[in-house]
Amino acid sequence: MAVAGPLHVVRPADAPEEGGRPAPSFLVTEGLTKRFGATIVVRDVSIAIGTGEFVCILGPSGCGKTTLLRLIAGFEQADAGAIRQAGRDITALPPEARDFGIVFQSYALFPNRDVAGNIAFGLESTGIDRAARARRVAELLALVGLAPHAGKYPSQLSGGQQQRVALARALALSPGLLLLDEPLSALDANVRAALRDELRALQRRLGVTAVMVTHDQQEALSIADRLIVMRAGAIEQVGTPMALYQQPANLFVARFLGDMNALPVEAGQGAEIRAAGTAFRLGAPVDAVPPRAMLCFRPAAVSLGAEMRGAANAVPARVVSAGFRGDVIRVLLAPEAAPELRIEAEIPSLRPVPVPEPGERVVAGVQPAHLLLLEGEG
Amino acid sequence: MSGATVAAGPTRVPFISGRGTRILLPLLLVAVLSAAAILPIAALLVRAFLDRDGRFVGLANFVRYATEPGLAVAAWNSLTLSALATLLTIGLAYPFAYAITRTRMPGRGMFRLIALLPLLAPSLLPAFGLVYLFGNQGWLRGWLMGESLYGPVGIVLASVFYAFPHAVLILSAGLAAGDQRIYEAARALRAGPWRRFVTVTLPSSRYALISAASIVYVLVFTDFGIPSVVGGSTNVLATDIYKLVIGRFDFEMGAVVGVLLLAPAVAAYLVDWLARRSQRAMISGRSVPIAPERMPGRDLALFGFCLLVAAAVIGIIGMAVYGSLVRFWPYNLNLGLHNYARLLEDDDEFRAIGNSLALAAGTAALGTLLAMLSGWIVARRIGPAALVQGLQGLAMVPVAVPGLVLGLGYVFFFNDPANPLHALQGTLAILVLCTVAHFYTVPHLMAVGELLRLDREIDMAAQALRAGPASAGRRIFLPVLAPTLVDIAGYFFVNAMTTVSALIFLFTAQTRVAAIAVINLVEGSRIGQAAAFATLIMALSIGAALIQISLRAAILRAQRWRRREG
Repeated sequence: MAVAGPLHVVRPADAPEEGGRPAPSFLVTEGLTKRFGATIVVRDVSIAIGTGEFVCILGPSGCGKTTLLRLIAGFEQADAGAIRQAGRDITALPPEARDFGIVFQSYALFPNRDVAGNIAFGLESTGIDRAARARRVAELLALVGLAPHAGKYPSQLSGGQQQRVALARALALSPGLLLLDEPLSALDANVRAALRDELRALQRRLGVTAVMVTHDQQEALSIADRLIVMRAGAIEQVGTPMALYQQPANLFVARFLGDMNALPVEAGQGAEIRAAGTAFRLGAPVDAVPPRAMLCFRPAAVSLGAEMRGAANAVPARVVSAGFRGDVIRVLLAPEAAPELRIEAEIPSLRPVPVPEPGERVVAGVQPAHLLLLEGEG
Repeated sequence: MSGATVAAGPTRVPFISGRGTRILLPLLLVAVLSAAAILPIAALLVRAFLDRDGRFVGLANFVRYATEPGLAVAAWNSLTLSALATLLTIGLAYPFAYAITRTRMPGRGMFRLIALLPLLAPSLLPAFGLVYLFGNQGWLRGWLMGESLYGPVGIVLASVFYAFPHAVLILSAGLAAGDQRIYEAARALRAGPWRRFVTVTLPSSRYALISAASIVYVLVFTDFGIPSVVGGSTNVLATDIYKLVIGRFDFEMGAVVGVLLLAPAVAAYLVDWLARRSQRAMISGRSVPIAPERMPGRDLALFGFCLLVAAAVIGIIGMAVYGSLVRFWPYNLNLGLHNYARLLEDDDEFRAIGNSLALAAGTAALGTLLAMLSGWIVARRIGPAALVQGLQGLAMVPVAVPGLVLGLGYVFFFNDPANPLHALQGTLAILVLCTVAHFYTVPHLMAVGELLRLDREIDMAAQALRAGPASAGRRIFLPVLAPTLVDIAGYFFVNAMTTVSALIFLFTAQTRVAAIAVINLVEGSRIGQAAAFATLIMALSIGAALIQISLRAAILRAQRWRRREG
């Protein structure tokens, strides 16, 4: 990779087009496995990431996502499996022989070097001349909007500024791959949202392939081209944010990406399902109802109203509680036919609706298209 | 899973690529520490159960020690005098530490400095001060009401002075760490000042008290310098071990006394370790720092108390310095550098100063290198987990081993002609090795602490940016660690200048150091010159400490990045 190469990398031919599928070829892992002692931290992980793609590895803490990132970086050595980057087998290479830039959760800025010095650190190892180095540092400073702070030390910067320095430092050597380990998790909510969008725009502009680890589903949903959801060291599902949100493979993925109602299926055939003492009609018939199946729908898919009584997909229920949440009102319901179950509904709060009172009788309706049949968690 | 998670197992360690190096490096440190500390101690322990011909005799040596007239009394003296000195030291040090951390009386910083002054002198310097004040021809002899200084009185008094700064350090650290919110809560619950002290301050400093008491007890119990100057005919274990080995060549009894010195020291350090662990658990990272309130009555009383203590410390040290300047105590009180001139004219004594400086410099160099290496291995977990934990365990051993025990262990270990390191015997190198081992624990922990504060991700960032070990060391680690390096080197240097106990069995005429020369002068009843020599050592230590402080300050000044605003 040319060190002082152009900042605006021309997007390669196999880069993802708007709405198109990416060509999964740039970074490939095959059967990657990592043990720490007796614990298997990463279990048989095979992924393929296309050039210029932004992929988020998402999962609860301890799921092995950071270890997977560190395997890709070379800070950990795999016990089994292979990693290929740009067609080259890098499994056995030490980090310094690979082609990536990395932003750490702690930023890991060198405390004794100022902003420009941090950005220049990697360039100094390459032996390019002083003038070219200064030009490159100036470019990067401008890129992340830190030109006025070039002479400041990390301890004099805000969290957001430190994050930008870390990003500029990681991009200094024009790596083909940008690795991000929870880069935004140490920031305030506002700064975080702004930097998230900036990061995304920058990655698009440079065309660099990015892999980001996060435990924040909002962040992952809004920034990634594709998500990899992990649990207990293994991949649960891979897909676009929209696909994973709307068609999760199981209840774990569904609940990790947002709240999900799940009612145990009592009986069912084709598109007709019975749950919570109510008859439901699915958007499309299923061949077979899986064992321990749950009828699932997002709280936002629920609409409340008395006029739906008796219709399909309408559950007569009593209001247990209702809470104001800003944009929405969260209503907790107990179906009348199965009062031990709970259904959460989310109704917009901007519309002048009366907030339901606890004990009030309502009917909760769900469109067939919003119903999912998922296997329950053991 | 956060990036800060430190994984065991075959994790790649930045800058050490080969699997071999990753095992060899910790193995090397384990080997060095074993040879320098563990094996000599083991040799001493084994020797206590062998007879003169090397046959195993079970507890026979201990039985002989207990039954032979005059031997066991030293153990009793050591136990009781150390207990008394500990009680007095803590009684003085607690209010002193409280005054400099928890009040707003004036001069707190200065009082702290004065209290720490004896750290820079050999333990026997206060003993000289006492000799000039309360000795047979002392100025204030009457104060002892007929008691002789030489014996229990002198040992306890000098020990209190010697141990006082150590107690103040531990207690003030314990008292400085606290949570202001607890005091605010106590006030909100209408607790008065005395009740706040008894229900909050005292309980929250109990671990520091336990720590301080156990450390002071061991310091006094194992000190050789003080009883050899003011012990008179009172035998204690620390002087007995010397007399048994050097005077009677009774190595078996020497080994037994070594075990008797070692056992309480190990026990005390275990207590201290447990206390510190509990203390740490008590302070959360989110505590609000203590903000002492102004209480004129209390502050004035404590100011008076501190003034008295400070006057005593300066008086005793000053008296030793004064005595060293007097021509012929107490008959000719003309001041001059007579005693110093005699020292410098004497080739043997002059060489001892050179040896001390060489020992101190060598110890600082080797010790800093080893401590940084072992600190790095432990902090970054380089190598198999068992090896790393083993190294950490080994590094914790020296602090609990009295210098006399370590020194005698060296005699047993290195005297063995079968030992490949036998050639070190009688060289300055063995003194350096022994001194490094003796003072190893604190610098090792300093290095571990500092490297843990430096995020592990920094190493990875440097490596991801393709910096090699030399380049990252020069550009990142050396500048960041510079103040710690200076502190560690200074710690080794000053301790090497003032230590006596570990070296008393190891020196030769060629390698005799200044602190030992002082003992020899005392044995020859040349008290004036001995005091002069002790003063000279203190002056050199103060010089070294000043260099350390100004070097540190210069580094901090030059490193603009350490300042928040700028």
